[in-house]
Amino acid sequence: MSRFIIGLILVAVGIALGLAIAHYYPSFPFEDKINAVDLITLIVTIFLAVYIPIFLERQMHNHQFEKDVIVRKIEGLQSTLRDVNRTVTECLQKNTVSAQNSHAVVNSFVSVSNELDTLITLIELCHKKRLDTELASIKNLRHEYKRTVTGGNFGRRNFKYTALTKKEEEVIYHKLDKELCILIFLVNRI
Amino acid sequence: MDKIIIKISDDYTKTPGVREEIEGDFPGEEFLEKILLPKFQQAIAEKKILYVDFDDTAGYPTSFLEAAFGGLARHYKDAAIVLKHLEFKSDDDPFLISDVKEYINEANNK
Repeated sequence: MSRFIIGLILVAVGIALGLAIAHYYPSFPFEDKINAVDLITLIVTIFLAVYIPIFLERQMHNHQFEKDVIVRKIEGLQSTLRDVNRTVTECLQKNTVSAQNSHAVVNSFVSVSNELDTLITLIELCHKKRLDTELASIKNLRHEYKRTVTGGNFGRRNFKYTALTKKEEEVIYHKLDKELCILIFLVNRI
Repeated sequence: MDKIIIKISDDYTKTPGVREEIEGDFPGEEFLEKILLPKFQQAIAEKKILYVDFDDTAGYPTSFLEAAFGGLARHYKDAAIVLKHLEFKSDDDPFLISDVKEYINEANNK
């Protein structure tokens, strides 16, 4: 509303200036007739001057803001998955999985679920169903990753990750990380 | 349909543990034998739904879930009958229900 009022004031100031110039400086010639092409050019120029900053830029700014939020969420999810990957590496190196490690891993998977759920909600809200295939693949990899890390004899006294389990974990972790990187690219392209 | 409710954090533990009893505290097998299976049998006998509430715990390792819910499906040798009489609630972990359903469906494929 305030923009509209400012616009009206500016138009009024323009008309007043034009009249003042015509009155005080009569040496300026003013045409009585207006060329149709010039008029159309003027209207188009005014339309673009109003449309681009007010509507288009606002729309672009909103889209960019949405993308930034989604990308931040994806990076957050990657960070939580990295924590799991590091904990598993640490457990393999120490050749033991402490109760603290077990709780941290299980807790991280709860965070992964919630972060992924938020991400899916945001993507569906902004980009509808365009990334369904990619999200389905990420959901499957999350399930597979959790099963690999917390399945088998996980939690058992003296439980250890074997080199083979670690290799399998590493493969799924990198697949998941790659899918999430691709998702960042796809979100930015939309 | 009426429901029989199990809230794992109140009825069993807030820190679900391992797969088998010999492996450590609060194993999935013990939960299956002492709570899940008797309540499930009661639900079937009384034509009720068994409603399992997963919330308010420290989280569930796959080993616990697979032993408990996969074990239930193995007991009945049929995933469909198990899924038909179960309902779940998990606000803490949005993907836990789909995980559990997958363990039930895969239990008899091994």
